[in-house]
Order: sequence, then structure tokens, then C-alpha cells
Amino acid sequence: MWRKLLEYGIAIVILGLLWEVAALVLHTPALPGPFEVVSQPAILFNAAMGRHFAISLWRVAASLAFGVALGLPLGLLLGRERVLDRLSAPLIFITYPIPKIVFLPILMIVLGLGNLSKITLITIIVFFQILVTARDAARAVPEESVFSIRSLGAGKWQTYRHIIFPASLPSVFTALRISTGTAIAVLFLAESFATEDGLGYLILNAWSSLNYSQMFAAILALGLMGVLIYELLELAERKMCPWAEVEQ
Amino acid sequence: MDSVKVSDLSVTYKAGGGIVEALAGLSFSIAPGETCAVIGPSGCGKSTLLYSLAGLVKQSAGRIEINGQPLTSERPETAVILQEYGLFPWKTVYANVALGLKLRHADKSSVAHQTETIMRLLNIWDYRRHFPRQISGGQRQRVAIARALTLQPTLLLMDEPFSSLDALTREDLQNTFLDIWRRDRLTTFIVTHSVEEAVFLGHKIMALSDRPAAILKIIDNPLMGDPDYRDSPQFHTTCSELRELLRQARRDVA
Repeated sequence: MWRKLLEYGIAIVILGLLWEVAALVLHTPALPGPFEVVSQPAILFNAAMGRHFAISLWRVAASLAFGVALGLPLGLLLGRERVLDRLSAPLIFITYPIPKIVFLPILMIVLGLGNLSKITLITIIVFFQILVTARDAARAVPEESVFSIRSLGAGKWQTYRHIIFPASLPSVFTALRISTGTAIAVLFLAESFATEDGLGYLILNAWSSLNYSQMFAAILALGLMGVLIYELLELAERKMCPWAEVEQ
Repeated sequence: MDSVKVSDLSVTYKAGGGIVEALAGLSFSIAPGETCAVIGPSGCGKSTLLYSLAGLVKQSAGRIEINGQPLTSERPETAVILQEYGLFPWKTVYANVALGLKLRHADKSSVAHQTETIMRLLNIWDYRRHFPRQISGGQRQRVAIARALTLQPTLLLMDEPFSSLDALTREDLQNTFLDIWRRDRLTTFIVTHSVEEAVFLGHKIMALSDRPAAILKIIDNPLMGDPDYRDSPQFHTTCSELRELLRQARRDVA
């Protein structure tokens, strides 16, 4: 715990130094130095910031949860059931590379301008990343493991529960970490259109009113949100895959 | 215990775009409580024979009868120990051993009781909270045996169970297996590539040819199970006979 805090501390100092150097070199109001931002508690910690932070966190967390809830079981199923996979794999491969952000206007028309359209958009993106990873992970489960549990008398559902799911879990966590980055990037985009809340809105709003300190305060909050989610994922992985950590 | 009767068993399967002929017309029978060691060149189809007896692989032709009943799928009375143990790395040693009972929805207290009894019998109770990766190969093999025994099988199928262990651990586990066999008299098939292991553990020793596997000969080995058998002259005679048989088969192919 303390070691982790120390590691984060060192990282913050290094980033702060790089930031300070960049601010000194560029010398522009568009890039205030770190002290200028941090020394104004009023723009860092206020009710509005708290509200924007909470709403953005909710959007990302809900999207990650829905994306996993949909993508994980479907991915595992496609990885193991050949007929189903043959039918749907072309569908996935055609739709997977399409940048889902292009659906934002349609989603906004159909689902409105509120949370629902944003969460749906990010969920779609997370869903695909989890789906593809879970499918590959489920396929890679050695046939011996399946034979082994079948010989113990397991049925199909039990095989999924005791073999396919736990064997795929570490890959799914890796995919989740990657998805988190994508999800926050897309969140920013989604919050930059026709919205009045969320950190993305706060950043763009501060930008257009040339309030650069406020803008960077919001960027810091966005970074903090990422760290929070990553650390929660770490914790969940350690709880759910204790076996993956043990040394050979 | 189970009797096993196999007649004209052939297995072909698709692999890598081609058709593999693994077993070509095997016939044999094993009496209840007997052990049968299966030996032959690597890749000859020994494992396929075992999978067939387990009901995990479909036979293409022929017939497998267990206690006079034709075998059509997996049966709960058969326990299988696969190569490389077939343990699940994401489950603790305890959870691995208890899994078979759990899958059969045995009630909790009997799962706990049976699991502990068998783990103590095999001297692995102290490792119950470890993951398979954290224990040695010999211990892992004990876990695999324990897991198979929790189901109180009447037919035990083992695929090269001791092949990756060092010599002393292997002898240790062979003796452990014999102890269990003397206690339960399980009908057992044990696939091996070691001549000494085949002679030490098999009442009958089935020597197979290269793929598609056919039976070269089934050697009767009535002294198996005698604790001092390993050091007796008959043991070495039988080993030599078996070795010569396998060599001869290889020469005939070449």
C-alpha cells in the first residue's frame, strides 16, 4: 500500500516536472504551469467539479459494467460453440473496425441527449473489445482441460463455469484495462456535444472561455478518474484471479 | 469392479484438415480388478485408446463393453487422469480435489469429509490452500489421483501419469498407486512409455504398434503387485521380453 503510494508520488513528481518545463519553455497562457493549477483549490475542489466528476465516472463505470455483462458471456459462447461462431464471426469482423463514435448522432436522436446515449455509445465500444478478447481466450482453453472436467462428469454449464470462464478471466481483465482508456477518450468526445455536464463538457467550456487553469484542473480530474478505475480493476483481478499472480 | 471387453475397436478422427487413423481393430478383455499397462511408440494412439475407454472419443467401428454394457458416453464410475494431470490452475488444491464431488451435487458435509480423507491418504492435506503451480510435479500427481479417487470409481484410466517425474518420485508414486490398488482393486488402464513401469504396474501388458495402433501382443504378468517384484529375476526377464518385442516391431516398420 505505502509502496504503491510512493510509486504514484514519484510518477506525479516526474510528470509535474515535465509539465513545468513545458510551461516554462512554451510560455503561453494556454499551458499554465502545474503550480498555477494546483495552487487554486477553488477551481480544483468545488461542488461543480464534484458533480462533473461524479457524472463522468458514472458514465464510464456503467459502460464498462454493461460492456462486460454483454460481451463476456457472448464472447465465451462464440469461442466454444463452432456453429454459432461461424454464423456471427463475419458479422463481428465487419462491424468491429467501424469507429463507433459515428453512431453518436443517431444515438442522440433515438435515445436523447442525456446519459443514455453516451452510456450506450461507450458500452458498444467496450462490448466489442471484451467480446473479441473473450472469444479468443475461450478458444485458447486447452482441450485437455475440457476433457478433464467432462471426465469428472461436468455438463455444459459446469464446463463454462469451472473452466472456460476462469481460464479466460485474466485476458478479460487485460481487455478491460485497454477498454478503460478507450472509454475515457470516447467519453470526452461524447461529452463535447450538446451537453452541460461531465468533465469533457467542463474542459471544453473552460477552453472556450479561455479559463486555462480550470481546463487543466478538469484534465487532472479526468486523469484521477482513470487511476481510480485502473486501481479498482487491479483489486478486482487480485480478488478474482489469485492463481494468476502466484509465481511458478 | 468393472470388466472391460473391447472388440475390433477402430478410431479415426479429423485433425488439421486430414483424417488420422489412430486405432486399427483392437480386441482384448480385462477382468474385474485387473490392471492393464498400455505401451507403444509415442504418438501411436495410446491416449486415443484411453479416451475411447472413457467415452470421451467416439469409436468409428467396433465395440466397447464395460460390465457387458456397450459404452456410448462418459460414465460416472470411470475416473480419468490425463497427461499433465488435468488439474485446473485457477482452483486451489482442495478445490481441485473436491470438484468431482461438487459437480455431482454431493451434499456439503460429505464433500468436505471425503475430500479431506482422500487428501490425507495421499499426504497432500497440508497443501490444500496452494495452487497447483505452487507445488511440485509429484505432489500435483497426487492431487490428480486424489481427485480421481473421490468419485469412488470402479474403472481408473491413467494417461502417462508418472512420466514427467524424477526417478525416485516416480517409484514413490508407483508404490502409492499399488497401495491404493491393493486396497480398492480398481480395474485400471495405465498408458506409459516406460518398459519398467509397464511391467511393474500391469497384470496385462498391451504392446501396441506404431500408428494406426494395433496390438502386437498382450503379455501376462501374474506376479505384478508383489512388493519385491522390482528386484526379482522374473521382473527383468519380462522387461527384456517386452523391450525385445517393441524393438522387433520398430525394425519391421523400418
